[in-house]
Amino acid sequence: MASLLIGFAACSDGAPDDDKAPNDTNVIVPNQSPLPAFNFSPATGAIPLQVFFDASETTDDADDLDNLLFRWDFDGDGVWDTEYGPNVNVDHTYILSGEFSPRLGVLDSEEAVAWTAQEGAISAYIDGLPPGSLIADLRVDTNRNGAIDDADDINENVFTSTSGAVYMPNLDDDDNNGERDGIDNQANPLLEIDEFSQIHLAQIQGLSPEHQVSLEISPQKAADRVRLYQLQSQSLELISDLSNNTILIPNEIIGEESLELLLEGLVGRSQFFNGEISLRLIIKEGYDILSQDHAIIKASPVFFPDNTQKGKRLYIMQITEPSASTNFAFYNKVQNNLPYPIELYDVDEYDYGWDRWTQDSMQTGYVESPGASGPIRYGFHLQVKRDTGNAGLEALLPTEVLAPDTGFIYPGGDYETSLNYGGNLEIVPPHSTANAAYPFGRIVVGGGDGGTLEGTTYEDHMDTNQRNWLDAQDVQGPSIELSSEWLAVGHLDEIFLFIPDYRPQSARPWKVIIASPTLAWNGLTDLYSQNLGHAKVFEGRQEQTTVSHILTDAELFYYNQAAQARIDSIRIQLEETLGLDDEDFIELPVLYEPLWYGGYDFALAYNPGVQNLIVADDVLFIPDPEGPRVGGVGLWKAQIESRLETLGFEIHFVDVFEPYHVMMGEAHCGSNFEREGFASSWWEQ
Amino acid sequence: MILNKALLLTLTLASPNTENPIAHTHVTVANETPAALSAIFQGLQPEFYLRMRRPEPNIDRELDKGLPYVTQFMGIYNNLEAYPFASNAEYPPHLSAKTIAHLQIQERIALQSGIIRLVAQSQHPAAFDFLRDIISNDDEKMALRSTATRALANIQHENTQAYLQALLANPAEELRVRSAALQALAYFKTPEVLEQFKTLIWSNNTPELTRALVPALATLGTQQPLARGADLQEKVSALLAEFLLSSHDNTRHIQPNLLVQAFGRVPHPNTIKILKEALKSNQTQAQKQRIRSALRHMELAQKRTQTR
Repeated sequence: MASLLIGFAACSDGAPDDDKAPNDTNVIVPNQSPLPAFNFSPATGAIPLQVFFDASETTDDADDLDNLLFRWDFDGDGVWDTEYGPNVNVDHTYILSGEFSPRLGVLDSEEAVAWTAQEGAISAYIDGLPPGSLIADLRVDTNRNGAIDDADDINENVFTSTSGAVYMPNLDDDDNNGERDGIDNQANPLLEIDEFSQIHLAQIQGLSPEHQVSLEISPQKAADRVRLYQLQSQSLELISDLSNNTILIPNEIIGEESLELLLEGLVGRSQFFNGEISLRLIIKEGYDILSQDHAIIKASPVFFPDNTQKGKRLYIMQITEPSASTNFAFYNKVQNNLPYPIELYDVDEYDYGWDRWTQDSMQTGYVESPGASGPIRYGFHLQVKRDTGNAGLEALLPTEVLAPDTGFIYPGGDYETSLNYGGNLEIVPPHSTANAAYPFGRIVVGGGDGGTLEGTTYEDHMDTNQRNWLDAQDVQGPSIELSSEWLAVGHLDEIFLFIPDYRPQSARPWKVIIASPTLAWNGLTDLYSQNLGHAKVFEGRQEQTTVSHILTDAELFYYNQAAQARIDSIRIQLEETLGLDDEDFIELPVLYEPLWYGGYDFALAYNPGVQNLIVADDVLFIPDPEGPRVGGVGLWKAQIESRLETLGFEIHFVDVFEPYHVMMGEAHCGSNFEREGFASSWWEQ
Repeated sequence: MILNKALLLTLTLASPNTENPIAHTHVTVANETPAALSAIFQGLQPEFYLRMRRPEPNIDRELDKGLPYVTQFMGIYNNLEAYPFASNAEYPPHLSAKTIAHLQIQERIALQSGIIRLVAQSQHPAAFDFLRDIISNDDEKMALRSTATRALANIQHENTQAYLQALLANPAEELRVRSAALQALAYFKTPEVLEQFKTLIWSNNTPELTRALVPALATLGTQQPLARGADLQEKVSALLAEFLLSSHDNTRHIQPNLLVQAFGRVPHPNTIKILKEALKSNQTQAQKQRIRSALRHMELAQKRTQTR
């Protein structure tokens, strides 16, 4: 039986708190205060339940009905659902099941207010489950506010930009024991609660022994990819057996109190599992389902920030061992000019066998889920398939970078090729094309079947497993493959890189810097025509040569013609796929030379590949191209400065020749950045 | 340094009574110029090349310095029993014996390949015969036969051209060798080569040859500003356009982006006109896309010329 509550106040908000609401049915009518009253119909029904409210029985000493204003709190949760308005007749549709206590607030012309409520007056139920039935009620953080509440019952079985619960793969190391928590049976889950997703199973009243309550998890493969815990007062109890995807919940437990569960994601999205888990709480009697509630929860994708995002940490190996080709000049230049607060992380040369190619072993990223005070993110990196016989940087992620709130995943693969490495995986900054928006940018990888520049049939691609894992993250894909099989190392950063464009008037906040053999060659030809053919290139190096010597090398000329044509083909593919035009590209002087392996010509940067640079916010560390100098001015340096300084960068040329270039890499290859994440959260898109 | 000294010493010991004058000569050179030779072989030190981004032996960067010793290198090519240079102890300790054996094979091939290119660049009187012997040796590794064929581009002689044309025309020859012959012939820049390419582009029915032929045509049609050579640009450009627009079966033997990028190397106003006209005619969407891309390649190439 519903009870009637009436309250009043003058010039106040009229909220039904303890100070204002009487706790019995006494009616106290102050002078000048309205006397609210309302009827409604129907009082019960299946959701969605439309109820019509009529406040025309409200009276007031001073005002007639036309001069009063009304507002409503339809579900009685203490929050007014409408503003004051003149209508005495309104309707409201209940979309959640339950009992509700509608409340009417009235304001008269002298600003006296009063309210009345009818406790438990409206009963909305799930179709087929009239009042008194057993009700299964399962909730996850559908509204993404970091807590379980009534609003989570709305749209809990769809995933949209405004609703849908999230979980993260738990592959960091919160207990600092050197193992990733999601695959560590010794992990202490209490340390990780913040990274788990809540599941609330509401108490089920009226259960009898013939009833069975179960929680089903689907798809089948999800059982191997998550763990469930029951939250106790002081501990988390692992619900160990998910093998048949069904957890039987004893009636004496769920009948007595609600259960709080926590879901731990283990591996997240992959090509074998899209990360979406369906949870279903079911009450059965025999084979008959009496009630069920369904919610979904989705794994965060792994994001890889692009070069336009702010830098956090820069990994470089400082090499001091004389026999290993030291990089003092390079390292010191970066260290002394790195913008604050970017951390320079020195990767130990002895621990990792002078494997200086920090770009190669990992692609840095993050995962993200909603939290009570905003999105929660933690570092989550991709360990690429790269086998140096445990002598190199394979150990960097598991032994050094892995930490509380920093994890990694290794999708593995069957095929070992340098095209798997981080330098062959670049991120197009956020952009839109005529057909689609890419708010988190897009992954590009190198590979193809275009053969060598000379025309010898040759094909190579990133390992299929690794590429499919990248595409399975969904938010930065599908990935684009661009021809890099013609290169000796086979990496896209040997051809181009994306950098920010800080000019406020720029139509697009980023540019593609792309190698141009023709630009480099034309510069040399211009010098030659000024009788400067004797000018030295790579002066002081073992490889020292002259402008004339380069220009009279016919094979080098034709090879660079072919390289330019292949690069143009890549550029045109970028133009067509990303919607770019001439303004979006900046060509930089780079010549290529053929290296011969087994009868195949593979291209390698002849001068230090200047597009293979380090982007540290508004500072660029560019490989010194070591081109000819005329009057103290480096030809190629000048070409670079004139093209990049106008974008708002501070430019530092770095010496990469011995420690990187002659070993087939440049500055970008010898560095790796952790960067801030994207401005928006993935579920908002 | 250790490696080359070891090689030369071992070779000397391996053939102390040899009648081969080359072998005798190289011993003399080794005594006179060990430092120069060791620099050439620096790249073959495992500890060096295994630290490189692509951990495979390669001595291309050192080749220039080997030219004075080409005779000796020809001798080394034929006396490689003592190879590899490095003892197993000089490889990183974590490598298995199997891995080391594989690397040693690669080192041997790298050295042989390097010598082939060095000999070709040297213009040595014996160079043509040296390379021809490698090419005609059916027991030789395909990688080396094709490398030797391609290296003949450096020996610009009508006999070389005739030999390469014969290799290319021989349907019984290995495709890798025929492709390498194509690539080498592109550097001869003669009308005869263009005629052979023109015939082949329509008549051959092997994708591998077509994929080699298109970039070779582009090389043939490009004139190096500072070098001699007939200017075949207009003819090659027109031939490529005819091929692209023909819908001939062979156009399906090559990836569209490889075909269209060749236009960027031989841009010509007449070709641009032909392709623009073709765009107005009844073409499939895919064909229009290829034509537009070819035009874009030529546009980019011309823009670079104009903005110098």
